[in-house]
Amino acid sequence: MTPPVAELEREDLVLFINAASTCSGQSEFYGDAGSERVTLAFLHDYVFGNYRRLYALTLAAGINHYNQLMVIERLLAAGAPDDVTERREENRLITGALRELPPQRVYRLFASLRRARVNNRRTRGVVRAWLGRRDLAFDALKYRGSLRSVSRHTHQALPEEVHSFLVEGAQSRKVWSEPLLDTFRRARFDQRALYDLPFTVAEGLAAGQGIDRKQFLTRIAPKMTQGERARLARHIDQQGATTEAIDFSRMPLTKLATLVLSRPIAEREPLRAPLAGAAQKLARRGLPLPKRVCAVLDRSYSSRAGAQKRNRTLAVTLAISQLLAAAADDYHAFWTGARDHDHGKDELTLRPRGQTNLASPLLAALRLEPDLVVLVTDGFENDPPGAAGEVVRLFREHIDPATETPKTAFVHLSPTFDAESFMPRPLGAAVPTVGIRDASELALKLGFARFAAGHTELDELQSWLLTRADRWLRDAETPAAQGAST
Amino acid sequence: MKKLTPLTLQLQGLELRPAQVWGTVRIVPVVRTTPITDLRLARRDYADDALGMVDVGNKTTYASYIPHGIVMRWSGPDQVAEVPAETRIGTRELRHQGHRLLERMVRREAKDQLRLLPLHLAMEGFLALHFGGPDVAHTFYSSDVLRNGLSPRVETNVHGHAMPGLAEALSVFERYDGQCGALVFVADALASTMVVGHPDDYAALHDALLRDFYPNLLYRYGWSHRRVPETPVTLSGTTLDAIEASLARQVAEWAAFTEGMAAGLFGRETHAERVRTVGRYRLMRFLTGTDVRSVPHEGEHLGEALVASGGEIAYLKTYRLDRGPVRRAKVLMTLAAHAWDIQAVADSEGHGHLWRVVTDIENAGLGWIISPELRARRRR
Repeated sequence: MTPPVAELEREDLVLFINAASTCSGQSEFYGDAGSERVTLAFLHDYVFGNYRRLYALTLAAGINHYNQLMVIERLLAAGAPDDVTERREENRLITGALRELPPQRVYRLFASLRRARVNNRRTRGVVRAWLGRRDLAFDALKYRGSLRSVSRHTHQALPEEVHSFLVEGAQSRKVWSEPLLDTFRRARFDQRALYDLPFTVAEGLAAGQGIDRKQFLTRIAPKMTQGERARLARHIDQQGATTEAIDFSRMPLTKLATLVLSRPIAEREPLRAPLAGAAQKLARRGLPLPKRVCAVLDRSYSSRAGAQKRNRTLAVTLAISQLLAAAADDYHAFWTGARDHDHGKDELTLRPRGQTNLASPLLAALRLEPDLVVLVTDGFENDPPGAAGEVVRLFREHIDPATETPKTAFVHLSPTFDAESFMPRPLGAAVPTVGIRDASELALKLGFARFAAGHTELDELQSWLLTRADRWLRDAETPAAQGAST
Repeated sequence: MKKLTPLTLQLQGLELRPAQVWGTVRIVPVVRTTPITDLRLARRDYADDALGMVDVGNKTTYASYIPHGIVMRWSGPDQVAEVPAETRIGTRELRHQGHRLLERMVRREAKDQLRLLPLHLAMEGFLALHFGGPDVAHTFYSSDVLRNGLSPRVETNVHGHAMPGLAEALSVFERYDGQCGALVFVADALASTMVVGHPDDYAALHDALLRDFYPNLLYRYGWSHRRVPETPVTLSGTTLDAIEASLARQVAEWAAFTEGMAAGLFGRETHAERVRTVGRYRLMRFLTGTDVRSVPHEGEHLGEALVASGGEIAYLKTYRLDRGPVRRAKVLMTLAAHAWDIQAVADSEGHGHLWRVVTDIENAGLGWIISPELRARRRR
């Protein structure tokens, strides 16, 4: 018996969105980057080749930056569709996504378009629209090579000064009327000018001029972004430089969680309040949660993730737990590891260690008769293997039969991609698996879970994607910024 | 081996947990209910590519690649031993002079500290088996063997790094709280065992499994299988309590099953030799047996252990023997048991044919101990 085409299409799409939410082309704990990239490239080609419209719509479905870039690259390389409405929709999605992506990633996309020798009319339009919103003098300093390369490749007319700065160099003129460019020119002779430059630009110049690191860090501190300061906090301390305290209040939840885990346990206390604060802030946006929520959380050794994204899995898990604690009326966390599941244990002292025993914390959670059980794990269960899926299966069969409205809902969130399963590794047929890359997408992913569970039709998924894309674009688009040329 | 005493290894105070599978490698965690605190181990790295030369006494040298040693420090029975830190004791060993020259397999470095060369201790005991050669000057043997004994005795092994998938399996292994050991199966054959007294010591020695040596047989097993099946549990029950009970039952059943997979080692009487006494433990090296037929099944194992008088294991490391070494050991032990008289061996085997025994010796790779005249005579 062959399943109907629509059913296949829905499954393909769910698989793709799950994969594209987690895989970042970096090595995972259990998998290497190479096989991941092969798997992912295949998935992209497959979905793009078969369902182009839906493929473009996934840009709004909470897939990660790495995959957004892959989607955009494939769409641009293929040229614009003939149908006017489709073309317009695609263009809006592409420009919308590019606007939210960090600039260094977008420049990387442009570079790979150049390597692939993609330079069609739409690509040029997209690049023009994107560059039109950038501070080009700043980019000429910080992304000099990338900006030069993309402007040359797509024949962009840059402002005259920026152009000659890129082509002829900073010292080619006696003075630049653009203040930032002139500061850069002066920084070669004048240390005061150096400290007016962005941190990363100044850093290289300072090293070249042999400026003492401690002195440099102290004086450049006002020009550092919050992210840079947080990233370098330990280094700054080691160098003995003094800077003002880092303002954690604007840092996103998952990033804070990563920061917490990167520190020795004794130094984590100052981050407790910011972490809870970030969770509160995110929770205020609203989460579709029932009354009593239990979470089974994996803090096994494998949650330390691959070398390129150290502790990412555990950081997402910690962030989700903090968010659920802030958002749910009645929340209970059950961590794996120790025999007593560390119920109510201080989450600030987390470290990735121990085996993955999901079944016993899951059973402990089910005793509380929750309305929703969230399992956050990479899916590699080993104490014993396959037990969590079995518990859910039996629970569904005997204790809470899956009728129209089961009392307890299950969802498995996984921050980890498994190249062999083409998606995050599932826990068994009874639990829908959803890939998640960041705790801020929890609401979105909980909504998406019903498609992963397989009770819904393709039409529903399609209309979900459309509404999602619509809302996302409306949020992102300002009246001034129109889509690229068609 | 000199004076042999029977020794039966038991998993006393040790529990097996569900295996973790990676490719062809299955690692079974061994968890200790109460850690041993009066004996602590640490690893001493001889990390370079020098050939290790160990002076084992009697003008005999044991030569091998020896990447690391184990340093142990002990205290009185109810006291807490310190973890041996690398101090000036032992630094002499770390000096590298082209060859790494080491003194003895087990060397006492202080009142309460000794250094041993893991698995090499056991392997040396194995190679030294009837090393002196025939003690009766039968004409069956070549004059060289009668004069010099079995020197040099050589066995070949595979380094852990070369074992397919072992490095990855060890690196993705998730260590348990309180884990004090591991059973390593390659293609579901028990390859190696390590048990120590304290979880922290195990954490320090976990990676060292990669720097041990493994038999050629398992190297081939490792390549001939792509992966061994992971064994997901199947639970039953209609209430949460029943499901929980079923889970506990399954875990216990798997532990028992895994113990069965290691039946070649545990609960089996071995030929052991006491090397020395360490606090309240005896340091033993042992050989499970010389049955060639069991090599592809339960296996014959070689190892060393620290055993308390009650049978508690404070340290254990084993190595699975290949078919070749087992055959050689078997041949040598039989010959020795019959005062090196080949005809007597033939008679004891019931057929009385000298040539059959000579063929056995030759097939075991020990043909060179037979006198050339005798071999030439048969060829005619």
